Amino acid sequence: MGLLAKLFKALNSDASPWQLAFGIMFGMLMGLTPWLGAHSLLILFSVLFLRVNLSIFILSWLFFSGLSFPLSSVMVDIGESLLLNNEGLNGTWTYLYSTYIGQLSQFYHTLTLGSLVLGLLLSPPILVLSKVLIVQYRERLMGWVNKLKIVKFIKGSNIYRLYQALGE
Amino acid sequence: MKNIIRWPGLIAFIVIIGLLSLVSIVFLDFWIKLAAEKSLAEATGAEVNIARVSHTFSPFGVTLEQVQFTDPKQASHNQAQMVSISALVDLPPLLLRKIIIDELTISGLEVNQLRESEGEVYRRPQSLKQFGKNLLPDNQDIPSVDDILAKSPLKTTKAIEETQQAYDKHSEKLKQQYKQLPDKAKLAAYKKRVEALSGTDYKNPLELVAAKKEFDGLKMEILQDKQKLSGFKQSASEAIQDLSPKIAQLKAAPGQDYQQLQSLIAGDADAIKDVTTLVFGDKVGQWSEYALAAFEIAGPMLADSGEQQQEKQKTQGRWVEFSDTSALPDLLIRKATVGLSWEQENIVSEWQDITHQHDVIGRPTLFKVDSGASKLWQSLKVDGDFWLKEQGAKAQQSWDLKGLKLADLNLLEQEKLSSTLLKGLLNSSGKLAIDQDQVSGTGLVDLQQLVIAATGSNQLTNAIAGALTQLNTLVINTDLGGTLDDIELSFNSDLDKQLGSAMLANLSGEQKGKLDELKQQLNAKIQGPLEQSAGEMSQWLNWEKLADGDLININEMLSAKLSDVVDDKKEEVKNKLKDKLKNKLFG
Repeated sequence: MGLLAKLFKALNSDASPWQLAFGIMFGMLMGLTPWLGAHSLLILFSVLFLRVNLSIFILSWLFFSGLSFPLSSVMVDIGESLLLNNEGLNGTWTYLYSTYIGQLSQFYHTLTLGSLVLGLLLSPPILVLSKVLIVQYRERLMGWVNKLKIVKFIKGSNIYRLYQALGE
Repeated sequence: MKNIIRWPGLIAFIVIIGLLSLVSIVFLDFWIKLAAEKSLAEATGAEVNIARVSHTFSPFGVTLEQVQFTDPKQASHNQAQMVSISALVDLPPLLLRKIIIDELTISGLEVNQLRESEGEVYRRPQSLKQFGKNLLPDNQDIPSVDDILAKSPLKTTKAIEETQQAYDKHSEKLKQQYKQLPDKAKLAAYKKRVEALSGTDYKNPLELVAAKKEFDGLKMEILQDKQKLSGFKQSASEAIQDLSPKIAQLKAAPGQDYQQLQSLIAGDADAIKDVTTLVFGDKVGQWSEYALAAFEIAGPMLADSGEQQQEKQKTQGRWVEFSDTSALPDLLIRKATVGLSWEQENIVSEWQDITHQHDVIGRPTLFKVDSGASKLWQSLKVDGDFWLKEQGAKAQQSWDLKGLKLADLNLLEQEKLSSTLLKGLLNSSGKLAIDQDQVSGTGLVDLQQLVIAATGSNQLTNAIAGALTQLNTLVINTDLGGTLDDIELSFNSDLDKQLGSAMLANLSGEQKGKLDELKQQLNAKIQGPLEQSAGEMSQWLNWEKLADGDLININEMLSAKLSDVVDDKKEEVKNKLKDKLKNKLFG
């Protein structure tokens, strides 16, 4: 209920579609990658410093964290193929391995590298697709959805009112 | 731009990071304690306790206090415990996952101390070698002479067997060969015929040719007999050479057996055979473990640390390692000072370059102890180094301990025999080397001014106890072998001889009677075989002499007698031909 309330509040708010789309994108990056690492700090900094919708970021983070479990073997395979089966990159990895940035990035962990690469590859399409869908939702579905009994029920709930109050 | 940037968000980020840092710093000591206890326990295979942890930021250092390592072999004791461990850590390499400790100080190190409560053991080590477990035999009676002769591997018995075997081997063969030899009559007939053939003046060449043919046939017969004589002579010589030393050994064996069996009359030889190991084995073994502590503790701990990291990293994704170009090992302690507390004395050891990746730093770990005179000893010097490689360790160590005062050391506590070293002085020196985990070395334990209390419960153990009580000096030679995981120790000393002499000096009348009986039986045992073999030997010598004489005769017969006749004839015919030719040429 709380999550749905968050979602509806964000979608129905005055926030720009790009703010919401970036929230989804950063949430996806945070959710797919292991949270212990320098990349997590960078994402957190971006989300807080840039005007990204935090509710959507948190929801997206939770959603993609759940999705990362079934995807983990694929992401490990991507990491393995990049780290071990690509002789052309070996020199780069060896150099990075002996640098502070390389060690902080933990690139030599197959799941970290694989999930980060997959997340970065998916980021542009997810960003654009999210923006398009949000715009389409607001134009075509928002009015109809708001009339649904379940939505009215949620909007009438104490949690939603609490979120509204916090938002204002 | 104003719409994109959220300044309060930056403040929130800083606050979050600040809070995380604050929490980390506040709980840093606690986390270091948890991490150290866990990783050290994994490395040693048993519970590790740390009472307190503190840290400093400039220079970055960590101090662990009251550290206890449970002994996985004996959970009620600590393998090692320290009052404090202080380390000054080089911070930048930590970001490269390299633990570089500039200076490590361990103070108040004690080994083999009783714990307040039993520690947990996660990995059972291999069982310890117990030297005192070969319990003393139960029999309290003096064995009978017949029993001793029956069960003892006597030299006399062996000598009789060997003499008999040599006799059997040669006797029949020589008899057979002797029968085939030409007798005196045959040799005389040969001589007569040779003289007849060589003494005749042959006028007719045809007669000479016939005589030559007959002489050749005779020569063949003589040669065949000569071969028989030569073969017999060689066999006789071989038999004499084989039997002579065996007869000598047979004569000496009863005396040697008598010496050996004296101890059997006094007690049980098996029991007193290795009293050194029985009484001093555990204690010297324990001392040797102290000598090897550097390798036994440091080596496996350093080696394990790498393996366990690999294990953890397999759980989700894995850490891929690339060639390290930073020229730093994963762990390096540049300088360490370890203060070992023993019997209220502080023994300080200095270490340099402790690591498990010596190939990376290109030099071995060095350690030394140089302790001058103290209440306990006159001097102690230990020097060593080790270099750990993938193929195994390479190390060497030497030690020289002078005048260590020993007091109230429990040597052996068994039902039948117990002994305590009340007082003594220990000198010890030795060397050991490890190459690819193979240990080799020798040590000398020189015990002086000994005062030992010992009690036995039967005739044998009472005798051993008595000998131990009279013991004043003892030199034990120790040999080290085996592998680093399974070190083999062996001891030898003159204690067994001392014990035997002491026991013989206290023989009872009954025992002396048995010794006399034993002597008589041993002498009786060799009498028959000795007479037989000596008689046979004498005959063989005679035969050899006869064969020698016959061979001389035959050689004389075969000398060039007939050849001279033929040569004379040839010369005569030649002269005649010359004369005829002269007459024809010069008229």
